[in-house]
Amino acid sequence: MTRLLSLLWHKLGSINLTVALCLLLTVDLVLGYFCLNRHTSFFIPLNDMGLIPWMQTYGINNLLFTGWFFLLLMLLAGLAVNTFACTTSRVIQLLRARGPGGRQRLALKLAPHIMHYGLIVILAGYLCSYLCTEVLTSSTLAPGTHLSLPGTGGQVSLLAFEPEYYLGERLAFWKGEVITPNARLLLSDGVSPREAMLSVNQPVRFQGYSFHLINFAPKSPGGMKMKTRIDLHIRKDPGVGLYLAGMMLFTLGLIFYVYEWIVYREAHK
Amino acid sequence: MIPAHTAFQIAGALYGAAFLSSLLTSRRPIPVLLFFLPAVLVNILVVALRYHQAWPMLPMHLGPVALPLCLGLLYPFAAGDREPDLRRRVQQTLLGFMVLFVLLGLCFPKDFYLPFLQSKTLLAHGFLWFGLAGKACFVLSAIWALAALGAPRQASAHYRLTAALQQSLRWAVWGFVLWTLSMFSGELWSYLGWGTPVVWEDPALTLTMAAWFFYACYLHLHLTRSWNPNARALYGSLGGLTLLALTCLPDLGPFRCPF
Amino acid sequence: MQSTTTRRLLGGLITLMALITLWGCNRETKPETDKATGEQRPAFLQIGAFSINRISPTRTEVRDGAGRTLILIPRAAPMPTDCNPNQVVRVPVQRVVAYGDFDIATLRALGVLETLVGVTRSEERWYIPEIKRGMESGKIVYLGDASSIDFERLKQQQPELVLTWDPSIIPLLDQLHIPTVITTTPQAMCLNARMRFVQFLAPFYHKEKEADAFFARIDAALRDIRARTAGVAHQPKVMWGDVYEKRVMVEPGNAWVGELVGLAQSDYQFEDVFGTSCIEITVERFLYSGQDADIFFTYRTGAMGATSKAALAKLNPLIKNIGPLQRGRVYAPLPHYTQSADKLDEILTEISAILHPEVYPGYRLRYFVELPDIDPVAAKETSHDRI
Repeated sequence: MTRLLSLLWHKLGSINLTVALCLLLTVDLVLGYFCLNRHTSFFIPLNDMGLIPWMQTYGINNLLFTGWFFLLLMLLAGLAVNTFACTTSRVIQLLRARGPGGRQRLALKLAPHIMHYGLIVILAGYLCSYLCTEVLTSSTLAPGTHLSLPGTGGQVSLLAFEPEYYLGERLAFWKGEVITPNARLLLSDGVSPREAMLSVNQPVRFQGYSFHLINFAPKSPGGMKMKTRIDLHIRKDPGVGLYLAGMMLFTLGLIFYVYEWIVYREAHK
Repeated sequence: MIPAHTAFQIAGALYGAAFLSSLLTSRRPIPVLLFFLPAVLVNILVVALRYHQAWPMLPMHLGPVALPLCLGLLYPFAAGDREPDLRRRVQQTLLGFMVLFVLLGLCFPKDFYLPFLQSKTLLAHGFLWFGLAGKACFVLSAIWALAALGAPRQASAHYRLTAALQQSLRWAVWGFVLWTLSMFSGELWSYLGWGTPVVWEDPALTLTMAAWFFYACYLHLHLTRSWNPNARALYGSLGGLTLLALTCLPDLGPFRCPF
Repeated sequence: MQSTTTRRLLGGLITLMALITLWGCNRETKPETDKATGEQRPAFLQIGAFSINRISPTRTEVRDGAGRTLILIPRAAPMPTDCNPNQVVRVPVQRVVAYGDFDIATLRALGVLETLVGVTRSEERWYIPEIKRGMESGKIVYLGDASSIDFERLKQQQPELVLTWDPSIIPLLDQLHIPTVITTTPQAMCLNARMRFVQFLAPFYHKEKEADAFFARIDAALRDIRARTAGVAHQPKVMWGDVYEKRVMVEPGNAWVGELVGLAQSDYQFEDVFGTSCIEITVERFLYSGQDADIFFTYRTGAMGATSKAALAKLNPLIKNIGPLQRGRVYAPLPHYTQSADKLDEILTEISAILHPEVYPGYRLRYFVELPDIDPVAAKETSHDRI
């Protein structure tokens, strides 16, 4: 039994499997481009409705265009298992047979494995994100109105929309338009209300939720007499910490790897 | 002010002249540099003009214009200190690719979209430039793999094949590092802007991921010596070029007469 | 040896993938049976950015243009507890307020215009007789301009649903407990979505049969267009958009007009442009595409200055040299065009007739007008001067 498990572990961690999976992933993703191009409406709901409901509706009903995505999930799962098995075996080998050079050399030798573990954490983060994220889609706030956050008792209201306009001449198409849409929010948890400034690419976090500014009006002072509003994506994403940690881990491994490449390989070629 | 399209035409002509010079006067670098240096300068001007029309936002589909520039900036380092014959061949091929990319940019421009507000962040610019620099390194990796593929088959040439493959690996490593940084910048940008690491509105993300897996595979093949050198050279050259051509697709528009 | 293993692995994985794909392709979602009519309907239907998901006979979930989910339940059913009550719509809807002309024309296509109780356009700007009559009788109320709705009046009308393109009213309507459906989408509606939008509104009224009939009618018109234009010798080059003080807006290739032009054996000059309806692009691209274009559809109506080619050129000197203004044809929509989406078959046919007059002999335009070279008044003055 132990031998069988060992064989299975060895097969799962095979580098040939890694090569095969990477090649298939490449082909599948290229295919995905052609399926996704001009058919993004099948996939956009994936941003907010979660993986399982998406698979049961958009996914399964448009298999001609979404089939590649199902394959992608399977291949990524395979790659995660393969990477874990392969890299764990090698890390154990490395730790057992410490060569010359001390801790620094060992850390550099571990660099690819740090990247591998980083990749697994990123993939786990994505999976967690697509399975567990709670999204309040297209929530709109007008000045003086508020939104209640489900399950928290927290409330968010728009105090004021304070945009900065582009006043230069260089960007003719942007003349007089909002270049920085600042929205002043009041975040109340019932105890100590606080203000926060929300803008494009500048989300606000409150009670486990993150608020992202997706759209706003008006775009210019006199533009079509639109009423003031901000459209938000409000998300409670338990995967975000995981995939950010994975990215940091991967970057750390990458830095070690490049350092090793420059110091030991480039210098001695 | 000179229109960006006209400046790019001039850059293209200069790159073309540099390429022709390298073919005609293969042993003298001066005539090549005579055209090449102004070409790079004009190319910088084109990118500056495109940025001038978009900053602080991201100029849309800058790739075909900026990729030749990235390759041009890498040109002095492309061949390393290898034997002169190999170096010349690599530099000639690199010039050829630069001309090809300029022609693609001129014949299939996609510069008509206006920049969008979410791109007003350094992460967006990092995503673009890390990606372009990474792609330029991948092109160099493919060129070295081509050089390895073209090496004569006799035993004495084995050294050249190995050396060329080593260069291909070197550029693939740098490309992979930069490409990864580009992807991470893109993911962070996507999270801050839309709250999700993947924005499904943009189909190009699949090609970015495809290139990442392709080169992850290439590095594994090299580092584990899984395939024989010829197979690896074939993978890195033809496979690499095919994939890089595909990653250019999202930046290309419909055909337009370049003149 | 190792590459043989890789090949084997690759072969195995590819076979596995192919088998899974085949299994997936053979799957079909279980259709729902309509209790009232006994008809079978797909459990899930996607219409561009909109979708309908029939969860059970008493619960249908719809996704609107902004990606918001609304729950449709029968009028007598108890309020579900697992969702925001402001996103629950009791169907069939009996009182509705609608902002957009397209939404109102779709209600007309479904035969439920009598449920309309409020609009955002004053009486003199309507061309639909039922609305004019409704406003005269006081049943349909003008709620004020879309940017300054009179919420008191809206409340008095007691609508059960508001169809709008403006999300800024959602917070206020939420306070009034009136569900809102956003009927515009971030990306332009494709031809299929335009034709099927009626099927999106149908479950709000239990009018699926009428929606299917409407779709069949439009589909027949499209087939006729395909058949008529199949053998045409000349493929005109078409552009659709306008320039407003150096800002260029066009219909992208993924919009229904772009797709229709392609389907009617013509070349749409912005076929490669992708994005929202009325997308802004660079002036250079507009002028480049205009060089060899034959036909130009402007967004402007006569009231907005599109009275002749000369008038357009005067409004936008930038475009005076584009092909359609120099030697081709320019068309402007008539005022009732935007309110005529219930006659989509006629509109599609008319566009096809404009593109290929040779296969529509004697066709009389009803929704568009071809612009003369110069304004009739100016022409009169010129001839007078000559005399």
